[in-house]
Amino acid sequence: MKKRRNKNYEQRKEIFDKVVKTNTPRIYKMIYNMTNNAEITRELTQEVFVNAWRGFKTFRGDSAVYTWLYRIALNSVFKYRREQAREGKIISIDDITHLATEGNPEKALIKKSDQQLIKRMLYLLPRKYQEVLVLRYYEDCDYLTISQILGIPIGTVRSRLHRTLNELGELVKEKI
Amino acid sequence: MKNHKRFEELIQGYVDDALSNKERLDLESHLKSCKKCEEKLKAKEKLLQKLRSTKEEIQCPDYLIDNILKNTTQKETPVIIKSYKIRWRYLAVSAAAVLIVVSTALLNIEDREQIFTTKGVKEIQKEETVDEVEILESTDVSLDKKKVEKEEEKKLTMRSISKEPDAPKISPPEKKKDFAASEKHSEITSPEDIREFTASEEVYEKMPMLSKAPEALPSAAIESDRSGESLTFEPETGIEIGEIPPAVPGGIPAFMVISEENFKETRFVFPEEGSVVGKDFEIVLILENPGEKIEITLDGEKIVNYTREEYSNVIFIGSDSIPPLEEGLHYLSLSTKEEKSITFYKEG
Repeated sequence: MKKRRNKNYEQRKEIFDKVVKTNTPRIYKMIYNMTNNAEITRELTQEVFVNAWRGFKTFRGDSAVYTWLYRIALNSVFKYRREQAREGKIISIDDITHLATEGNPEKALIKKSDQQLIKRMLYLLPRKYQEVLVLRYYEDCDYLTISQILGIPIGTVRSRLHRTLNELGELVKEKI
Repeated sequence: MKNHKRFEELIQGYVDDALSNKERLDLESHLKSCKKCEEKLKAKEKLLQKLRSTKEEIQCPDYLIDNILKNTTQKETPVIIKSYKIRWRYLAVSAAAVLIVVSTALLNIEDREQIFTTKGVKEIQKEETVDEVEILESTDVSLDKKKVEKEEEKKLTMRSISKEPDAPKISPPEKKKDFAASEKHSEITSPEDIREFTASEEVYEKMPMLSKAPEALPSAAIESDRSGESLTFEPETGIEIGEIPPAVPGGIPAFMVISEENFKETRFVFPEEGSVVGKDFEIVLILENPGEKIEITLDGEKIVNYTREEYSNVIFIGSDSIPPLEEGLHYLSLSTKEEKSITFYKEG
């Protein structure tokens, strides 16, 4: 009994090692695009995998591992933002966009105004809008994948994206 | 107009390249005759181009992967929960992999000396200053009232296992008992009854972190200024309860073990009799499966506004999400909606 458990545990460890190695870059990238802070991104990415490891033994493989990880990551990001908001430590969008262009002044110069505006507006959107937008246009997920990650019907993905872009377009227009 | 709305959504699918052939043809023919929609398509494409340009292509540092591995699969003692800024907490672990942490800040720490609810414990506590007791292993449980009464008459046997206040240990179960607990658990009502939980060796085997958890929890090391000894219940007959919150801030968590059987409906009483609940507390439930349906009621009323992190099988119930609690005992009850929704870990 004990031996068998150990064997399963070892197997699970092995699989999870692979999961970490293949998925860390994409989760890191997504979190970075939602926080634009390397330090926070490192922390949150680590948190995502620690949480995933805790729940890994009960992960039944109904969905692809990376969709599950995306879900954990989105929750971590929004939980982090909630905590920041609660502590009154909301990072200003100017900080975010400043950090976003850090280390690449040329690119920063060209893209700065548009980037700033759009990122600022993106962060102002409600969570459900931000999620679809990030998954579709930053992560290039298709509708099916998005529906799996967010647990919503495919039709809803399209209508939500439509509404989100309208909303974002309005916000950007207002600012211009 | 209604038609327009439909086409607007189709435009979304069009820019995402997610239309069926028929939809695409429909839209394309509509676009030829409708300038408004054509403009909308162009505006959308332009916005998307801008949006995509804000995406940062960034490489994750190599050491991060190593760090993650160190903190997950290479870590010997998995951390069950992170520490909270709270004074004390319960940690309950079920065979069904349900961890329950009830943490409340007590207004009056002195009151916590009176926290024990089991009669025997109370009596013993008068003789010794007990700061903390950990539940080790409860054995065969029956909620038969008579038996409970009998058990109450027998004083719980406590044994000092350690003179070092900062080294709490859970001793291994002495013998494997019948795991089939009484089904009467679902009928438990009195606080004494509620203190009763079962466990078997199997539980520990299936959840290896249990035996290591106290060391893994950071709060376990905060007890150095205390003169109290680590005390352990040694179950002889029937169950012993024994979660006794430590009387110091940031104290050691006590463990309660809930079996699969009695989880069907398990109730907790908090705060302990004689203690005062503070304004801030947090209950953390860790379920086996993220999708598990658990009904949580407080004093018979459903708590609807609990925060549920769907991904992680963790449910947080903070004091801000439930009605303010007045001084006195409260009943928190958990029940599963589906018969078979709670199972053991399936190994392999």
